[in-house]
Amino acid sequence: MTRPSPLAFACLVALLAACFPYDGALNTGALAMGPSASHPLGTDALGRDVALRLFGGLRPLVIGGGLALVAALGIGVPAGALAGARGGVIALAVRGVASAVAVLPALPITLLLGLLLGHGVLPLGLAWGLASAPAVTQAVYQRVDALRRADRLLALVTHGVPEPVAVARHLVWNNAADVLRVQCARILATFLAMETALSYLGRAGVAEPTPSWGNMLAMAMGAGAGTLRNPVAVAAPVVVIGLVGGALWWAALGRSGRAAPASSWSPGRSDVLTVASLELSTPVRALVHLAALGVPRGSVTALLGASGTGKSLILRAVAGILPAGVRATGAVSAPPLAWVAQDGRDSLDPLTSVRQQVTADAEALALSGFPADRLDCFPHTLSGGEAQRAALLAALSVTAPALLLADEPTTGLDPRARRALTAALRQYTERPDHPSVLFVTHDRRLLPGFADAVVEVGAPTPRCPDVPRRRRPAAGPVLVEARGLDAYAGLTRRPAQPRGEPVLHGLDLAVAAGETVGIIGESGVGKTTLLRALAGLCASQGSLSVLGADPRRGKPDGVQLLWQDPSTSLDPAMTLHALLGVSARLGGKRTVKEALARVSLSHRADALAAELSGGERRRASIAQVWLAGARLVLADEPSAALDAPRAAEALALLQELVGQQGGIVIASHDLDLVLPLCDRVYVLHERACVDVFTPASAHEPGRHPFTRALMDAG
Amino acid sequence: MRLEPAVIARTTAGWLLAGLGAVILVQVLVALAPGDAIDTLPDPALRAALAEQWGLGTPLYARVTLGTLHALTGDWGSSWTVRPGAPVAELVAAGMARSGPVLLAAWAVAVAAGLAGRGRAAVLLVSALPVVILSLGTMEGVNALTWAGMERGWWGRPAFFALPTEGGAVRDVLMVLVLGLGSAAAGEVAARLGEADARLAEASFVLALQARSRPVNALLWRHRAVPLLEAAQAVFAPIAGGLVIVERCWGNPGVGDLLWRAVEGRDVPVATGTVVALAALSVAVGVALDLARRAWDPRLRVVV
Amino acid sequence: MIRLSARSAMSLTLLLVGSAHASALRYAEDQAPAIINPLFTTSMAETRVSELLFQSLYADDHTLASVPQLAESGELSTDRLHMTVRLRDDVTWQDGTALTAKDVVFTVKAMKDPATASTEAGRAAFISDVREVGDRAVQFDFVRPELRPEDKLTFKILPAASFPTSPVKRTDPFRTSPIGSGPWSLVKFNDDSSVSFAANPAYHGADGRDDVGIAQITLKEIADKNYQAKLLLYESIDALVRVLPRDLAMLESNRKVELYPYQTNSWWYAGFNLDRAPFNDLKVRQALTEMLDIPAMLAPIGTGDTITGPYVPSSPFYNHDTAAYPHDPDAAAALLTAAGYTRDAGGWTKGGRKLAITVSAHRALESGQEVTINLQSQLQAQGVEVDVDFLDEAQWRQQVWKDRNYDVVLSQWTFDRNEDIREQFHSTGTRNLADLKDPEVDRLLDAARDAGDPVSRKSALRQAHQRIHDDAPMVFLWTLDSYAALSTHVRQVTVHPFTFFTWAPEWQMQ
Repeated sequence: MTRPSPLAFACLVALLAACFPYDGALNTGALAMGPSASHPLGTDALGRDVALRLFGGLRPLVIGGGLALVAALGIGVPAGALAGARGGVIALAVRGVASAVAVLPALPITLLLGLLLGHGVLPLGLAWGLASAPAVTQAVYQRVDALRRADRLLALVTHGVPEPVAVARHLVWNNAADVLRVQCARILATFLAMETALSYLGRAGVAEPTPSWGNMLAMAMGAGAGTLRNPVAVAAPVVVIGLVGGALWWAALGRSGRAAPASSWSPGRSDVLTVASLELSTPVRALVHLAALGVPRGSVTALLGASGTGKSLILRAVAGILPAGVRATGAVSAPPLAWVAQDGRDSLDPLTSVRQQVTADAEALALSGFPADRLDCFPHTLSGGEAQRAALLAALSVTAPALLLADEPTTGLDPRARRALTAALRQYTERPDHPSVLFVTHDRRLLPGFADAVVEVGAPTPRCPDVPRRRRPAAGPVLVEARGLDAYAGLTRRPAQPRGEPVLHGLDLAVAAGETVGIIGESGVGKTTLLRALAGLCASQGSLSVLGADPRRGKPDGVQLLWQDPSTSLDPAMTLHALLGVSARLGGKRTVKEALARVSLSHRADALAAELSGGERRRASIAQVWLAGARLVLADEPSAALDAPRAAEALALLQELVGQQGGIVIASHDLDLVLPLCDRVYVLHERACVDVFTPASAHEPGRHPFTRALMDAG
Repeated sequence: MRLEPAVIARTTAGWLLAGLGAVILVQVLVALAPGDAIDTLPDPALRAALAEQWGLGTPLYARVTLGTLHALTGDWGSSWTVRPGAPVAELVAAGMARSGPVLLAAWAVAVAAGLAGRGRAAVLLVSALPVVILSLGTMEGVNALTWAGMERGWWGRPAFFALPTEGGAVRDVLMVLVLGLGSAAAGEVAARLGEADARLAEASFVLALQARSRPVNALLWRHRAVPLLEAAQAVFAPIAGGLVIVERCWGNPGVGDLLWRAVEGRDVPVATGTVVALAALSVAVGVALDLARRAWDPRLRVVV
Repeated sequence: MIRLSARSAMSLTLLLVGSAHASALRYAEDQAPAIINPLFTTSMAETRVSELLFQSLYADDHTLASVPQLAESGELSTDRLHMTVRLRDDVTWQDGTALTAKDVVFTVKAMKDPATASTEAGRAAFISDVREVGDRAVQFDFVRPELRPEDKLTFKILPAASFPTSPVKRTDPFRTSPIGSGPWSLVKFNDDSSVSFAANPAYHGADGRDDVGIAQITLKEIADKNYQAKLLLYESIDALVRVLPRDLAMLESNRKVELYPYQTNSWWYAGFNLDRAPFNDLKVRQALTEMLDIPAMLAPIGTGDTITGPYVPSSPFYNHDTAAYPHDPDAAAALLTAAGYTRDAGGWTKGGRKLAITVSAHRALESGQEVTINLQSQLQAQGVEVDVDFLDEAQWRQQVWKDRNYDVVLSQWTFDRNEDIREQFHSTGTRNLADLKDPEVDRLLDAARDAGDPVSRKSALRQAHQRIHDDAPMVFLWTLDSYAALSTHVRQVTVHPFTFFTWAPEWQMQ
């Protein structure tokens, strides 16, 4: 913040130029004279000082370009934000109008608008702004739309931030500022070029005697013999336009430079992997230190560590694909290897079908568990589990990789799928050429029967989660009561008529004050839909009362969502302190300082949300919920992306913060995590609730078969 | 690479609607333009006939509707002042025939330059318009040297000798270069490709391939194709607009020149016709490139 | 590398092939005419083209005296109210049909018909009626006695047969396929905004002259005036009808180009709108005039003579006794003070209102920008606030002619040989832009019109010159020297001051 900004300097100069009392008709009497002491750049054909006019020429750029910016942003930003935030028909209409304007070449439109608005720098600026508005609209739309799809807007609105504020501040200002900067620079640069061209052609540009670089050029070029007497008069505007135009383009291109090439590690001989004193760092701080790592042939080695310890970076260092800006020292000797990213879908080339990316021999196919009939699908149509398997399959089909590097290969999988996958990997190492596996995980539960060796990274993780104190079922008032509830897919923030088949059917559910209730089921069974129904975010039928009101008639105060991905509710461009400040103002009772202390993040108050680790983000989101004064917290997969001890810790914290007056509903596929914390667990299976039990009655005989399967899987 | 007919139909329809919107927009602009252009025509009989043909004196929506219908049915009327009485469609067609090659060549140059300079700002320093002026200087320099030789009898007048109002290889090349580089197009392409490259550098599927020490160039180029097509489509309209400037500077009597004359002479039918023709061209390019993009990238085959 | 340069050399060789020495005379205009029809002439470019294609009853000889062209002889009645003109019987239109009295009558009637809205209507206003007297003779009746009617019978004659519908319209097919009797005929309007003409065999054959000096003529539009002179140097064109002052030095030193000075009857002025305060006050007009250093305004744009009234100095009607308003800021200040203005730091004010004027100029006025800016700078230096407004053609028609919404216009008037300023300064004049209403000026102009002899006419107009100067409805600025430039390939060149090509049939192209 303290370093001098070239942008601020440019603005200052521009402002000075705009206020500069330039008298357009200062005739010195010396026509077209060369540079001299009193006129450093000489005079033009009418005896006016070139240097002075050069400075005065900034004014049309500032005023006209400024007006173009105001018009383009004034129209483009609200339109793009509206379309992005609302989607649907509004987006279609706004983008339709924008593309209709974009189809028209801007310059002719500016000329036509010139007929309508008259000549001069202001009409020109306005016309250029109007013609440039569609590009701004499209850019803002894309950014806002992406966040709407990622539920950021929903998170903000359900958190209690008024929608206009959420859109303007978080979706546009904090998220699209960089594209807006690019657009601003482009509009200014193209305005400069257009004004110059039109002035040169001598009709529609800034009219003399108001100086503009364009009409200076025009006059200098038209001066005939005068040009020879003062060539500086021609050269000066050309140079200035070139420099300013270039600088603006530079600004427009911004930081979208090419990433530095990945540092290449010599892949050594076909020995099994050895790593010695590996040190990863950015220019400003050290990231990871790994004293030694060895992977024996034909073995499975786990790289275990808590979130944020840099396990993935180690894997990338071994694979020789470190991100730009990260430096590595130390010795790595790696065999030919394959690498699978955390999200399987990202590891696949989206442009080609799965079949083209794998050389699928039947054995590998069977091993990966990827359904053979899906081979011709494109990656984006695969489910999370399928994508993970396809990515492994693609990695396995490399010609004789001696080592498979897998980064959290079980992310997003439910317990049964998780077991199937580890079994497949285990079998892989038993193939004739004995390839090895090095995989990264935070989940200690994966290790038994799978990993031959474990290397821990960072501080040792707790061996087993402290079982949080069990809370006595309180006979508090009923917070949630649902009877015969049908919940429908789709997202709505307004009362809506149910359409199609319900995702969940005939559900009975109750939560009393002081209770924590678990919702368990496999991926896609409708846990999220149920939470949304309770928050009034999707269509539902049947009797439903949440905090004494029907959420379908408007979100009741005191209901807060804890998102599966804590980033959803955390604006990455804000500091933790500022973020919690927003929540504190909404709740109005608790202070940010208190909240930071409660979630043990006081030392991170000034960090940007984007800089927090996964565990810190989760705690920050809990602090948000607490500050907003939640009485009922709906938590969707709160353990995702967290190691088990940290997940348990976070949930215990949540319980503590919500207290005896509030209730918690946790939706999860992880029974191990939920069971110790909950007073009651609802099991969802095949669109209905098939079982309800308390921790005490969990292992009683007579449980539903699906419940038993879940217990066994854990 | 196969596209569903439904995708083709919906993509095309979307573009056609945008085109229709553009035509209506032009009509609105023209209808709103003050000083009733017709009043400036010297001939009262002509004024009366044109006023009827263009529905002057009727409400705005009626004029816009009438104009849109005229534009869509290809009845673009006849010129008022640029070449009084000549059918606009003929004038525009003749202009297109002259501008087309320049436009396409400049488009190719812009895309190629953007591609070559993706993410590098140095290439874009040429993107400000002094290029026009400097090129005029270049042209004069070439001409002066050539002329010196001609006067001494070293050679006859070469075909490349470039003068405004005369075709010439140097002139054509300069027009194409200025239009391709001097318009914002090259910068736009470079910016978009730079962004795409930055994304690709961190894409897991590229990293996965790099980890296996496989060559990634072919993959990168396949992935650059989509932003490239996008950028090529986005810069087409600006380049077409830039025709106005280069054709005036170098006296190429194409659509850009025609449009300028029409605006100067308040020749409403010609101005409208030219803009509509340019818009139609952008729509055609839009449809083609959009379909190509969808054929290339399976993720885009779902029409939202 | 070697292969590359070999290829470049080859392509260079290919490019060097061919040179085109044009057998045609190529001349440049800022803007090519959109149509060809002498009844609807709106620019000098069109006037010049008409000169190539059409003939008139009388035309100028080299001494600028009217001599018969289509006419064989003319007979003026003693009361000078009627004239019978006998036509040559050897003239045919380019399509071979004979040029008859019918065509002359048709042309005059078309010019006079209000439905035609001919821009040339004024040139036939002195004719009250016209009728055929047989096949080859026409009789004109004049509104009032005419001293030398043949000086006014110089409008172009059109073929009646080419205009089957009445009234004549700009959009008639004639506009792009004109039929004339002149030395050249239209070949075609080319796509590149040029227009080609070829020698008219009907003209040359009929005249018995087989030695056609210039077989083809091409009009090239060169919108960028910065380029016209260069094109002449590079032999891309053979003639420039008007050289910009700034290019004179360059062309003068070139041995392949010859400059031909000619005097146009055209002069510049800055006209006040007398309907508006404070320009209705003579003192203010005079003060503003005396504030201006006119030679300093002329210097950047070329050479010429400053003028004191509505004629060019070479005109017989120019009153050389009229003294120019001096450039005298002190006298100007005194005049403004007398008009009730007071000067303070912010400028001249009267009754709390600043003395502020807007100068409007046509964008297409050559050098208009430079003059306007200088004018502004000079007046501002003396405390008058000046705004400038450059108008395009449509705005000019609307604001200046239709709405009369202006303070001061910068413009120029161009006259034919008759130098009739009546339309500009008589209170009933149709082009009385300033809206001057001075009974004395009216009286003098009426006297000049009705004068029976040249001497009294000259005397009346010289008095009018002085009177108009005293009224100061405009600041009379200057008349610019004009030069045509032609390639030395063209010989025997004489340039007509107003219509340029009148004597072009005598030119020889080598």
